[in-house]
Formats: sequence, structure tokens, C-alpha cells
Amino acid sequence: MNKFKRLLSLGICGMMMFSVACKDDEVETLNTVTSASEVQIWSCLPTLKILKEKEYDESIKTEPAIDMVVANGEYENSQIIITPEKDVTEYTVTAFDLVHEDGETVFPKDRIDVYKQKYMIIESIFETATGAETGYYPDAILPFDAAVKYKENTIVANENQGITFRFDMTPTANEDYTEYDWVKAGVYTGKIKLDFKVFEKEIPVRLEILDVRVSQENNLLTIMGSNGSYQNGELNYSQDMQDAYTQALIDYRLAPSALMRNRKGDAESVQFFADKAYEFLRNPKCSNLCFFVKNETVIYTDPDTNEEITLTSFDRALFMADMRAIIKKSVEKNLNMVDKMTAQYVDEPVSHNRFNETKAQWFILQECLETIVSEIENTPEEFGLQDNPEGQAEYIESVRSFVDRFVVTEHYNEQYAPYVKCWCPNANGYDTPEQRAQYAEQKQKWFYHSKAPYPCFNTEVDAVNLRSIGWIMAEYDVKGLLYWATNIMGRFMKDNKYAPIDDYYDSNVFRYTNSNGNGYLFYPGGQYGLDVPVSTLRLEALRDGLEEYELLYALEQTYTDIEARTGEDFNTKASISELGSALYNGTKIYNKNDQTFLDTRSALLQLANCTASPAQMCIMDSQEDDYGKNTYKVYLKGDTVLKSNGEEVTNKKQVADGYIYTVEVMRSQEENLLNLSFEIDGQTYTYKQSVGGKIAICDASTFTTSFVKQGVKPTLSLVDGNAFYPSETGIQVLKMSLPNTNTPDQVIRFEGDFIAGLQPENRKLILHFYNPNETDIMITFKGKKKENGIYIDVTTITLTPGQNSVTLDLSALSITETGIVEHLLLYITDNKDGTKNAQVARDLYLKDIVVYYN
Amino acid sequence: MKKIMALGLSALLVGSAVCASGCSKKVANGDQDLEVYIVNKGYGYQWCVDLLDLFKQQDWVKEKYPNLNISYTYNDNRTFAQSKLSAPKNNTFDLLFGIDGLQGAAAKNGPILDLTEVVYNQKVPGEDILFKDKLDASYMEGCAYYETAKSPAQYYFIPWAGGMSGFCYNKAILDACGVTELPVTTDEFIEACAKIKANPSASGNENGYSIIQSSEAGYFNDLFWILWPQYDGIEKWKNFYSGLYVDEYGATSYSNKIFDDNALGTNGRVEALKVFEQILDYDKGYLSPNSHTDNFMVSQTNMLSGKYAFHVNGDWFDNEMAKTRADMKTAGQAVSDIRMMNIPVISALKDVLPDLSVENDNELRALIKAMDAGSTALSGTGYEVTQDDFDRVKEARSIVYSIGAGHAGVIPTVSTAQSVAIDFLRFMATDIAFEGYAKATGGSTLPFKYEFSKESSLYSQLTPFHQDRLLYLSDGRYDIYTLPDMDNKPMVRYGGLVPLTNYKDIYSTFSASGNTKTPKDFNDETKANWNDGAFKLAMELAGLA
Repeated sequence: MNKFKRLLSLGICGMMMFSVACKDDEVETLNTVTSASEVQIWSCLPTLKILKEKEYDESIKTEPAIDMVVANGEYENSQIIITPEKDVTEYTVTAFDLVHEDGETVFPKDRIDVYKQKYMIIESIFETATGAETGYYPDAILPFDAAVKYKENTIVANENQGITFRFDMTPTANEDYTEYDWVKAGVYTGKIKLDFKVFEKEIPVRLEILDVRVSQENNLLTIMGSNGSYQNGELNYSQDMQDAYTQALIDYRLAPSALMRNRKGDAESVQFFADKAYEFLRNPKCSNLCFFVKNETVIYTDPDTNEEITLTSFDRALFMADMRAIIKKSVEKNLNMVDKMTAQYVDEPVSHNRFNETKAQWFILQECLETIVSEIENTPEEFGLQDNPEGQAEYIESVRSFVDRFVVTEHYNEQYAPYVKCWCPNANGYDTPEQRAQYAEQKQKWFYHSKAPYPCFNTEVDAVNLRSIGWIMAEYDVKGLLYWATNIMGRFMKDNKYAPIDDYYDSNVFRYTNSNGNGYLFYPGGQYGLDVPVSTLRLEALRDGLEEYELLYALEQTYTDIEARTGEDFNTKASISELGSALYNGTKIYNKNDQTFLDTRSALLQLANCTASPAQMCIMDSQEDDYGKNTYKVYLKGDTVLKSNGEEVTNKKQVADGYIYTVEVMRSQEENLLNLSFEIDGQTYTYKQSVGGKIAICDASTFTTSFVKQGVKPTLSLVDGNAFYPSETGIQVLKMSLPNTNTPDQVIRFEGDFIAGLQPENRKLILHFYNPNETDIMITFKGKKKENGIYIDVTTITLTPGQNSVTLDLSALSITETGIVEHLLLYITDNKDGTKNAQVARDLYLKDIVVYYN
Repeated sequence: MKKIMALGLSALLVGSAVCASGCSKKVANGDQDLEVYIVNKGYGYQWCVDLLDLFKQQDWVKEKYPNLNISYTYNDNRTFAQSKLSAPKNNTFDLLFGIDGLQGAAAKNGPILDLTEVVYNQKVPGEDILFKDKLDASYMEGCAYYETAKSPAQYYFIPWAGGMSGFCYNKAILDACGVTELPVTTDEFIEACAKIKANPSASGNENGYSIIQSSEAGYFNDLFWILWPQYDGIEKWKNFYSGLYVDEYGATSYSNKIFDDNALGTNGRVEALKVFEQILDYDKGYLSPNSHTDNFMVSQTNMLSGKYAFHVNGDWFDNEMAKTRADMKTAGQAVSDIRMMNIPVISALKDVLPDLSVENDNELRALIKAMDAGSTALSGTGYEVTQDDFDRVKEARSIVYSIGAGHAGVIPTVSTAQSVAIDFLRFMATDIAFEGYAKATGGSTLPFKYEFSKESSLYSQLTPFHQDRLLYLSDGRYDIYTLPDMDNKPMVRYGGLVPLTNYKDIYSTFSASGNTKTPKDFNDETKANWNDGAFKLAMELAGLA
């Protein structure tokens, strides 16, 4: 709200308050809470977004309590929901010190931050894959003290009010971040008190801090757009406010794209930039920062064609000046900041046809970097590197390798590839193995936000979506995450401008085209007398996921160390990524997944705890056989005995300094667990990991009438399958005979009870085909939902000659209770590389389809 | 709450500031004080003045609004109406009749009123039909607003012009040059131009130019919008704007294959551009070079003076040139009888008919001329076709391009006389309003259904220019399909989808001396822009991904 309007409104507020005071007294008497029975206080899963005006079923509510198991060094949140039958005119929330099980050590109340959740209306759902509904969503989290100060500690009758409690387990660092004072591990108990004036409610708190530490050095890189219009919301244009936003991001393990406003190129500004960069980069939580890349019109001579082109590129002089200053500061402070610098300039060049700019950027960047390299070599004293050949070599390498950190937000494109070293596609560009292979050679892998079910920052998306980003990055070794803007404070207008908003806490959250919450993760703190921004539940979820990344990263490092020590081959990636398979497939994150997420996080903590134990338990490998049998290889150091479901595991082999156990879990139940335990040094360690829901095997006889004509009419028959599957006697397969056609595909329709019976919890199908042909056969699956006539691309698979097991990920179909699949189309062809040849008659054999639940 | 109070106080301040400065002209702004703005362009402003008068005379209006006071303002400033919406606190207009994208203000909680329930779902005063049913069906499509791709249609404006585009022609020149029948196919049209070129002395100018078309007005490009759906069919054309591709197996999906060619290796956009290429070819000399230097009024005046045979314009031509016509007559100058003909059917259509039963352009012409005469027979003099082919050609002949949806009548949300404004918009759908509008504009019409024939009393009051046009639109020979404005489609509005990246250059490119750019070049560069990434991005922006 601009200053003038704020003053006016305050004045009017004053008048209105006076005029309604009497009226409020009457209302207060009639409709305000007078006893505890009129207020429901409840707990629920901490990741759930509880809408303000929605009535929730009692099944999601539990007795109000906070019971958390956390890693040391992280933040973790819980929430309490207050739903009064009548108005609450005033209430307070007070945290108290928690006491360790040793009776002495205290987890001080200062480490428990209390926030009031503030709600924003979502009137249109744009992330339709989420199944979200319209309503008031919690987003901003306002420090409760500020809520009290501004008299917002009230609740309207029959509305839900969420209170977020953030527990801070981060260690205290010394001045130069070389030593940390960690919180003592163990169980702490205590209470939080809600005071409604007419009654009080105590919420029991149990906080178990494991002796598993989250690294305080941030191993991920981020570029979070931060030169938005926050000053419109804060009405504060100072560098201090810019710093406050920067620090807020760093506290969330994120890095800003800009450190300064109104950046200039004079010497003073350049020095200020380098000093400011050091100020933040000295904290290991700040893993990277960005060079400021200002526009400059250049006349660029294409080295291949000698054509002179006038175009816009980045300001070379400023870039080089900043690079020089960063090197000098790095040498002075003995901290190589060059390795921590990134940049992003040309945005979505393929989509916007900016080939020339991308090519120019490449050559201009090379020129700039080689100029700096030449200066280091010829005048090292300018950088403080005289008589320091190792230092010179180090910084030359750092400068030259900058190309690997110069991010281009785009999907891989062959034409552009010679001029891009650091592709940063949308997260959906990392979805399939084929897509990920395109970035395999990149020194740093990056991706940026997408739309649900991919990683998405928008308001109506489940918190678990943002939280899963860290997991996905760990699995696919993605080092960097980019988000285009964290502090836009304005409503997007069609001419690419932003109109100020009167009240950033009281406006439609739709501020950018076709999206809710897009472009901002902060709210202005100035409105509440704060000199720091107000954060959001979205940021909390993202940070929590990035902390889990650190646990996964550390686990992988530990596994690698043990692998090297034992000489055994740990399929580290597979076993660790097995954890994440309950949360996402590729980079598609499952919806309505809160309990599964919490179970998976619990498994991660247990695994980290087990690995950190003297037995160094590692899950070395994990294999799934397409028929619901999961096989795990588990390493334990020494003679420690491993138990599965309480029974000793006897299938084991001895290795260098321990044993490798083989454990099998069949997905035969509604919920299936890998349930391991062992005892060492008088302590029992457990590891429980959800393996997923049941599977159902539908043999060939299920489908004798399921495939019908779309383009061609298949002839179906059940035949003896022994010739194709010699080890399976008596097996029958479905023979699908397809006639020849003049069209490039043989298209058939897959319909019937099986398809109509697919449920939201059916995550995937595995189809077992036999291809008797001599060539590869491609099948593209498209699905049609009953609710509309548009086909959705599901996947394209290749059947090589012989046996094939192919996975159909159903998440693209977004099956819901009411949005069921009507049929699938199968486009069957041997055409490759865009050819459109007619198709000959052929046979395919379907052995069975395995349906996976959750 | 804070916002409402802040706004309230702001309003008071504005009000008191006005009083304090002693403004001389204070327009009453009560709930029966209707203040109207009309942009004064091709259709003029008189239509609105006349309709407001008619409105005020209606008994139901007198009863409902006994103190009705109407004022109006007009100017030729194209952005005036939009500027009022951008500064709502300074706006006192209750109705804005503007052009140039006024409908783009439509948005939930935006500056213009949602008319869905209060106008579209209400009855037309004095008639037993809902407004939305009285409005031409294709205008219903073009006037729809979609908050998201999955939202139902809402309506924030009404169109205040029919806006039909077509070829103006000079019959006398055609007769003199041996063009005895109006061309009904593009090949026939090009032959007509060639005949005129071969008869310079009868062409109206000494060089045999047949077409005058000021590049200032850009009307010639309207042909693209008609020829393309003629070739591809209405369904495929509409699907394009939704990003929908129907494959040969009948499956519809969102795909950038909408830019792909058909089995003949071409598509409607390319074929439409081929017609441009042939007509505008500099060396052929059909288009007068004055087209590049004359402003649009000079071109139109030269057309009226009998200097050229053809000119693309719209149903506003007659009204726009009324004063010029009168001045010419006063000055003793000859004024030609200029009429409007339908845009010819694209000749390449015969290559994509379902049954390919039309062998050549002569047969296509014969078929169309039979249709124009009212025939529904599958065979006749010079033609024999299948039913499916007949229907497809008839569809092509029924397509009309209109700029009407760009002429929007809106009610600002700050209007203090909303009820009156709403009722006036409803009134505009009445037959009374239709006739009043037609009389005021010399024959242009509002896009509402109206029973019209040679026997209608209105017929005799119209100029010949409009008589044929209205008969074509209304006499039942054709199920007229006015191409809806597709800018409201989410893939266009939010995703930026366009059929040709450099559409604005097609007229200047093909008419330029020494041009080497081909229709395929236009198509290929567009296809290159709409790669998988760009299309996916557009889908995301449109809320479809």
C-alpha cells in the first residue's frame, strides 16, 4: 500500500473504529468465544495447506500435539489449527523452553518461532494437475508478535487459523564459520500455550533430535530472481533493505540474482559489489552469487559468416570489472569466490528464436574470460597474485571454468549446443532418462521451475511438491535451481509492466499471467513495522527439501567412502533414489502425498541414523523385478546381525569388514515395508521404508476384447507363449495381429473395464510385450479422459526384438475420482526419425500388465 | 476493509477537489444520468446518438427511468476509451463504445463489468428471445472471455458493428472490360484482373490497374483471414487457435503439429498467401502503385471516382464515404456505383475436397454460381459433385470476415448508472435498434439476427451497396459463418499463438518490386518459431499444460 493511501486508511480506520466501537461491544457479547468447548484446536500433517474457509473431515484431524523427529542442524515446522465456533477477539501463543531427557539441557524457547498463517484468495486454479480447489490458501507467515502488535490475533467464527511453529536446530557458528556449536541430540519435551483469555490450552511438545547432522555448508547452487519490485511493497529503496532480502534468501539456503539496486559501472560500485559479495559468501550457507549482467547494444561480427549484427548482449566492461574485483577480493580474503559466481543472461532463446544472441553471448563471454586470464598471467600483481604461481593457476582455471556456470534457461537444442555449456531447462526437461542424458556431460546441471506435477512454486500446489525438489536434485545430480523472481510486488499488466497493489496481504494472489503466487515468495515486512521481509510457507517447504538434499548428499558421500573401503560395488544411486520413488517419477511429483512424504522423510532420517551408527548400515542396492518383488542388498560392518521384520536375515555373504545381506520384500499388501533393525553397543537401530502399495498382475486373458479398431482393426487371440517365455510353462499370451495400412501408424484403441478401472493411486503400469519382428517397434500411448475430447501424450516406448518390459507412467493422465480414463490409443510404427512410411502387417504379443498401487 | 475505506476517502477527495477548483462543466453523475462515449471512425457516431434517442422514447424506459438524462461525447481518438479504463477514478462515462482492443480489458475484478448475467442471459426488451440467442452465433464465440483455459465463457462487452469485409467493385469497369460475371473463385478473380489489365482504356486509369488498396489501412490482409479457413475448413481453423491438432486417426491433442502441412504438402495459410502472391505480383501490375503512397481516404475516393475496379473494404465504406460522395456530386464530379461482392472462394479448395469431385476451376465456378442462385442440386450446368463436396464448398462460400468484435461496447465498473447502461445494451439487440443503426449508417448492421428480404421496409431505405450484402447475409441461401475474433482463445491471449509470425508484412512483401520471399518462407519461419519448446511454453502460459 503506498504511503499516502496508508495514512489515509489509518485515519479512516481510526474514524471507523471509533464509530463501530459500540457495535463491536454488542457483537462481542453475542458472538465471541466464552469457553474451550467453542474452540476446536487440532493438529494435522505439518505439510498440509489448510484452507481458511473449508470444512475438513475429522479424519485428518488429531489431538493437538507437536511430536517431531528431526535432524540436527535443520529447521523443521509443525502446525496447529484453531477453528472456533464463535469469534475469537484476542489470543496469544507462547512457547516455552523444552527440557532434554537428561533433565538439564534446555532447547530454548528462542529457538521456537511462532507464526500466524495469512491467507490469500485463489479464485482460479491454474495448476490443474494438482486437483486443487479455489479458496483462501495459507501463504505468508507473519511473526506472531507482529500479529499481536497489529491486532491481528483474532479469528473469525468458523474459519480455520493456522499457527506455524518453526523449530530451529541450526548450530551457532563462530565468527569465521570454522566451528559450530551444535544442539545436543536427544529427546526434548515441553509445551506451548494458547491463551484465549477465557481459557487456556497447553499443547504438548516432543522434539527428538537425531545425531544426524545437516551440513551448514550449502552444496546446492541457486539463482533466485531478486531484482523485482520489492521496494513498491516495502517503500524502502535502501541498500539495507536489499541486504535484508538477500540475507533472508541465504537463511533459506538460496542465493539472490542481484545484490544491489540500480547497479552502475563506476569503480566505487564495482568495489561495493565485490565487498558485498564477500560479506555474504563467507557464510558457507551462501553457496553462490550472480554477476550482474546489464544490457548493452553491441555490433557483433559473427565469426562464421563475418556478418555484422546489431544485437543486445551483456555489458562486457562491467562484467570484466566485476570479475577483476571478485578475484582481488578473493585473494585478499583467501576465499575463492570466482568458483562461487554464476550468471544468467539470455532467457529461453530457442523458444524466442534468439540464436544470434546466444551465439554472440558465447563468443563475447570467451573474449571476456580470456582477457581476464591474460591479465592474471601478465600482470598478476594487479590481483595480488605476484609470486604465487599456484594461485595464478587456480584463478585462471576458475575464470575459464566460468562458462560451466553461465546458465542458459532453455532445453537442450542441437543448433545452439556449440554455444551453451550450462543448459538450465524447466524441471520437466529432466523427466526421462533420454532427456537427462542430454545433460550428462554438463559440469553443473541446472533446472528451473515448471508447472505441476513438475516442481512448481505456485500457491495452490501441495507443499510436498516444493519439498521434493531437493530430493529430485539429489537423485539426478542437479546442482543448480533457478526461480525467475522471488519479490515481485505488483500486478502484472499486459504491457509487461507491474501496477502497484494497495495491500499485498489483501489482494488476489493472481499477479502474473495464468498463475497464482508466481513471482514472489516474500511479502513486505514494512507493513508490520518489520525491517525484514515476511516469508511464506512455500519458502519453508523449499528450504526443508534443500536440507533433505544435504542429508541425501552426505549419505551418498558416506556410501562412496564405504564402497571404496570395502571394495564392494554399491549401487548407491539406485538405493538412495529408491527412497524418492514414493514421491516422484522422473521429475513428476505425486499429488496429495503428504503422509507418504513424511514416511519417506522418516525413512531418510532413519537411514542416515543407521549409517552414522557404528554398524554403518548401508542399503547398497535395490532392484525391482516388475512383478512386485523388491530385493535389497544391505551392508553392515562387523558381526552386527541384521533383522527383517524382527527375524534374523540369513541370506548373507561375508565381505572385507562386514556382511552383505539380501532382503526381499513382496508388494503383496496394501502397504509394504522394508523393515530392518540391528543392535550395536546396547542401542537398537531401526529402518522402516515404505516400498509402496500392492501390485496386481493381469494376465493376457484379461485383454482378449480390450484392443479395438481406431485406425486399424487388430485380431486378438490367446496363444501358447512358451516359445517366447521358455522358462514359464503353460503361459498364454495375447497375440495382436495388426493389418497393413497406408498410414504411418497402426493405431488401435485400448478400452474396457481395465482402463475404466484405473484409480488415482495407480501410479504406473508395467506391460510385458514380446516383439517377434526383426526391427524395433515404437508405441506411442495417448490417453483420453472421459471429461473431454483432448488426448494427452503419455509416453513413447520402443520394443526391441524379443522380450520387453515397458513402464507406463500414469501421472500425465492426472486420474482423479471423477476424472477417469476413457481409453488409450496406441500408435504402433517402425518409422523412425520423422519418416512416414506405410506399415506392413505385423504381430505383437502381450504377456501381462502389472498394475502398481502407490 | 482498508482498501475500501482508502478508496472511499480518495473518492471524496476527488469530488471535493472538483468543487474547490470551480470546474465550469459539471456533468450530473446520478444513477439516471447516462454518459456515453463513441469513437467517431468509419461508422461515425450518429448511429449511437440515434439509438440513444430511440431508447429514450421507449415506454418501458420512460417508466423505469423517469428522470433519464443522456449525454454523449465523441472524437476520433482511438485510445480515448481505453484511457478512461486505465484511469477509473477520473472516468464518469457509463458506456464506452471504442475500438482497437477495448475488449482486452476483460478480466475478473477488472475495469469493465461482467455482462454475462445482466445482458447476455437477459431477454431482449420487447422480444421473446434472450440477448445471447439474438446475437449472431459466431459473435458469441468471438465475444467470449476465458479466465483460464478451463473456465466457462463469460462476456464483458457487446459488439457494436457487423463489420463485414469484402471486395468493393465498380460494375461499370467490369462490364467495359468484358468481365460479365462477378468472379466467384480466386482464379476467376485473377483472370478478371488480367482482362482489365488488357483493357487499360476501360480500366478507369491509363495503366490497366484493377486494384487500389492503401497500405495505410491494411484491409487487403483481411483476405488472408477468409481464404485460410476456406481452404482448411472452419473446424480446423478454429482448432488452430486452440492449439488443437486432429490427427488422421481422429485423435485431438494439443500439439505444434497445427503448423504441419497436409498430405499435399501445403496448408491453408500457404495457399492463402499464394493468392496474395498472384494478385499482388508487382510485375503483373494489377495493384496500383499508388496504393503504397495514398492514404486510405484518397484510395477510397479514387475508387468512388471510378478509377479502379476492385478495392477491399468493409460495410462501413458507404457511410465513411457519404460526405465525400455528396461533395463530389456537389462539385459536379461523376460518382461511381460501388457495390460489395463476396470474397471469391479459393480455387485450391478443389484439391482438398472430401471426394475430389470438382475437376477444375470452371466446374468450381459453376457450382458456386448455382449456389449463389439458390440451388441445392448436386449437378447442374457445368458441374456434378458429391454431397460432401457440395457442403464443403458451401461452407467456404459462407465464410465472412468481420472486424466487428474489435468494436466493443463496455460498461466501466465505476459507472454510477449501471442499470441504464445495461438496459441500453440490451436495447441494442432489438429490431428497432437494428433498423435505427442501419438507417444511421446507410446500411451497416449490428450483428444481431434480423429477418431481412427485398420485401422488408428496410430494403428500400438502403443503398445498393448494402442491399446485396444484406441479402447475402440474411436470405437463407447460406448459413453465414462470421469468423469469430480468436484473440480471446487462451493460446492466443496468453500463449501468444499466431498463424504467421510476420503476418503484418504479407501485403507489403508480395506487392514489392523484386520480391523473392515465398508463401512457404512465411510458413517455414513461423514453424521454426513454434518449436516444441515454444509451443509447450505457450501451453503453460495458457494454463493448458
